[in-house]
Amino acid sequence: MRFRFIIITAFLLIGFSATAQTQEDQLIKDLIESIAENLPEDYDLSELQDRLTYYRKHPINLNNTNAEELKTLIFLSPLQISNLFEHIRKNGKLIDLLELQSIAEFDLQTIQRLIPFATLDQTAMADKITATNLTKYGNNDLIIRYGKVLEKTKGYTDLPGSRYLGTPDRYLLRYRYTYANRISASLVFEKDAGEHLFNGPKQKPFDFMSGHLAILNTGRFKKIVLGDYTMQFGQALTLWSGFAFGKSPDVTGVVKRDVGLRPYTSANEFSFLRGIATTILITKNIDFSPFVSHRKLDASLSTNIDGEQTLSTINETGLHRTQTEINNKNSTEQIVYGGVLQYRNNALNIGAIAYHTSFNRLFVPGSSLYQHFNFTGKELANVGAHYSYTYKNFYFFGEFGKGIDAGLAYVNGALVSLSSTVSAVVLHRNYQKNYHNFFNQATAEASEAFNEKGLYAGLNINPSKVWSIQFYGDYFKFPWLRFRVDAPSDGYEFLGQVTYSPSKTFKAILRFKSEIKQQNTNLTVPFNYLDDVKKENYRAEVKWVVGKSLGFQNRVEIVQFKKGNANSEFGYLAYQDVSYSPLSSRISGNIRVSYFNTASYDSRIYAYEDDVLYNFTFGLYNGKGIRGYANLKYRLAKKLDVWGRYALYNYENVETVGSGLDEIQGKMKSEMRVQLRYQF
Amino acid sequence: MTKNLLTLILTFLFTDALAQYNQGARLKAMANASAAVNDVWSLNANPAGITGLKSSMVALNYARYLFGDELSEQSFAFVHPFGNNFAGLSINRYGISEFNEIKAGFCFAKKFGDDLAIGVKANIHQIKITNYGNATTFSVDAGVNYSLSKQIGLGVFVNNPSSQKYKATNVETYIPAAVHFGASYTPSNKVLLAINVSKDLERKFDVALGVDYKFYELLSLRGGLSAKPFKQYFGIGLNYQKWILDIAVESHPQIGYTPQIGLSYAL
Repeated sequence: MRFRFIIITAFLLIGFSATAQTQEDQLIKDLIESIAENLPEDYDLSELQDRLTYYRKHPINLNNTNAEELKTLIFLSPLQISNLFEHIRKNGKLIDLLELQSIAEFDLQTIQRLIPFATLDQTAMADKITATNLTKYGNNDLIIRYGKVLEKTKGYTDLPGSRYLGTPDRYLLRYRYTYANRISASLVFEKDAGEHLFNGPKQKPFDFMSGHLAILNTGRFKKIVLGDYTMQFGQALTLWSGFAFGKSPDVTGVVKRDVGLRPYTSANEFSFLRGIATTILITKNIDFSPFVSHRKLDASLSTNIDGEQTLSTINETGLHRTQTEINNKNSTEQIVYGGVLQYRNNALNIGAIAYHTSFNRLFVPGSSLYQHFNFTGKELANVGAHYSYTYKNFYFFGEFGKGIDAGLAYVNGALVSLSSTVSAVVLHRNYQKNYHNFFNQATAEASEAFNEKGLYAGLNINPSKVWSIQFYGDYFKFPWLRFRVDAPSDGYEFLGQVTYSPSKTFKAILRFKSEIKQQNTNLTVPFNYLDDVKKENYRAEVKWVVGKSLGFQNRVEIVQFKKGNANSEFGYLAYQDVSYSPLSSRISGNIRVSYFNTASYDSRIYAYEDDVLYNFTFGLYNGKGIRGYANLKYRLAKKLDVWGRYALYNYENVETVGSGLDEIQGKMKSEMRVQLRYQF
Repeated sequence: MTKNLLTLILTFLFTDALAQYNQGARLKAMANASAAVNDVWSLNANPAGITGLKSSMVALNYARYLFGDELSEQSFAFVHPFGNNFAGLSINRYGISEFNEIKAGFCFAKKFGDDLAIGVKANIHQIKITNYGNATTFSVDAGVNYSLSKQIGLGVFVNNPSSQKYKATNVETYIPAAVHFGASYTPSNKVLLAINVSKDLERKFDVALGVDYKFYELLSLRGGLSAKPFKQYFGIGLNYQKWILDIAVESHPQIGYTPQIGLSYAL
């Protein structure tokens, strides 16, 4: 409450001082928001936001770039990228960015999105690595963030058993250095709520630390990364660490944008490799990326009859709050080494991957039947091959992956531009039930890409500037049992979305999504049989702008959930967003007020929420109550920005909020966050 | 007894899998999203759709059901234009040697200017079961096509609006009574998108979506989806001078793949 009051006062006091521009981030915010809108649920886009923020400051030179770099701009389709290079090859270097309009597949929206991140200027800036240049032309970006849930949760009380041993504060410190396209370095420290801040058990001095040093474009060495990095190749079937898009209203999302080796700068504690990796140009068209990684991972260990310590799954949350979580921390060591060989010319891209993963502990499958084909042992070797090929208005892509002494998986597809207004995507996949791979993010219905066959088809229609229509349908089959599914099962998903934007200042979206899957019946029976589980989402949204600085957004979403013969249950969410971002003011901000009412967790609803820069939030709306938040950004000085956020849930008719150690007495849960960014 | 059981199964499959009569391999590959699409096989869909033909056309189609050894469907269609008037004839046979369902119909359609066309079709239905008996009845189909613009077309048609049934009391086979609304979008002369919303009086709404893409002058690629049940369709078409060869595959979650092939000749 007090915090909110301060925000309002601050708004009134300093809202009128107008000097610096705050628009810089607005563009990225809009873009991230439009991508987030298209994500089904809880994805972390902070890494993407980071990339875009970087390119906003250091635009990509379109005359001197490569497919890998352009793929990091997620809104460009592989076909567009291919056409751009084809255009440059035929007509010579671009002279003006307006020339983009003459390239096939480049519609107005794409060009508008691309221009802020692109340039044609040869940077005059020296890029020789010398001490003077490094200090004079280097960019430093420092983020310090603090956040806290204001109510006391059960885990912090004096419980006899399991409880949170640390403090409820959350800290993040991230420093990033870049020098032209030659040097990049970063350092990240993070502490989650409930963890020890300084020199706790198994931590020296912080719970999570990540960093890298990368030297880029040095002779034959395109990239050398020391420290934390990600590897993203092909269609994410054989080797892909970090986030990958999947099925979404942007129907081309199933075509993976493989960006190869990249330094890791995010605060996610799981999705990266740690060690050394490099990409070497062997000839003009061939490059080779060897890598080696050694990591300590979290897992709950047990001891088998031979006295050997075993595990069945790796814990990916990165939380070390209770004694058990601390015991599990770093309990397993993983060593990964291998290499990727890629050949590229204008139309064709092929690659081969081979790597070896080993652990110091023994994997045993869980005791349930559905886990029967899970990975066992200590060592795994994976090989894979991927391709993409552009032929006229067709972009073919695919990948084959094989675990040695384990299963096979393959995915193949095509992205076709049928006409200037219609494009289609088809993707077929077959992942065997014993396809073992620790770095697999391929397009799938399940959260992991194994034990699945499927066929996906999507259409993207833009009959005019005003209308935009997307459809996709996906049929999937799970040949083996799954968690809570005691028989082979299948299902399908269908999505349709219509966007109407008659002017720059108004946009309306209607979306319908329907999904049917099978799951064990809720009834108590001797043998579980499967019930159809049907989930349908209906969404209507309008966005409009008043004047130059006020934006409004409303959304209504309804979820219908039905399992077997039980009655349908419903959940709904309605919200109002107001954003204020005057062109030449130090201050900008936004608020949301929403009302939600869902019958149970099954009919929960997710919605993207604005947050402080680089922090990415998907709100989970479950139960009945009011959700509100306010964000404020203030430019203290030219290079110094500060963000503040206050968010709360106010549930109706409840005695407690949350469950387990996160339980709060009362009906409120509120959270604050402050962030400082210094760029120098 | 086995025969009766077989008959029962076939009848069930017929009503479940074939709520509509065969619309040829081209329209099938587009998920039968045919209400606003012109084709010689519009004879078995929206009769007004035959007015898109420039000359007389004769067509044959064969569909094979992979779960049965000899279960198949054969269809024949013929359309002849007289100025703005079009006449058509179609014959459909579905079944095995012991069980046959035949539908034959005569169609008349007329163009009113460039934008509007109306068609009506009268059908005779017959079921023959060896050593069991025959049953016969009649039904009517009618439809309208309207071009909203050069790119967008609309269509609506009804099957058997009076819900005719077989007269014989011992035959339970159902003749679909349904209404279909459709739209088509032709962004270029190579691409045709079509959508259909269908309501059978005895079933839930079905939505179907189809794409026809003329990849080369010779070759067309097609695909489609329909919602209830969730089915996927793929197909190709080969056009060579006056000959058209169409192939389609329908994928049903329970029944599996059903291929069919069609051959048309423009006279």
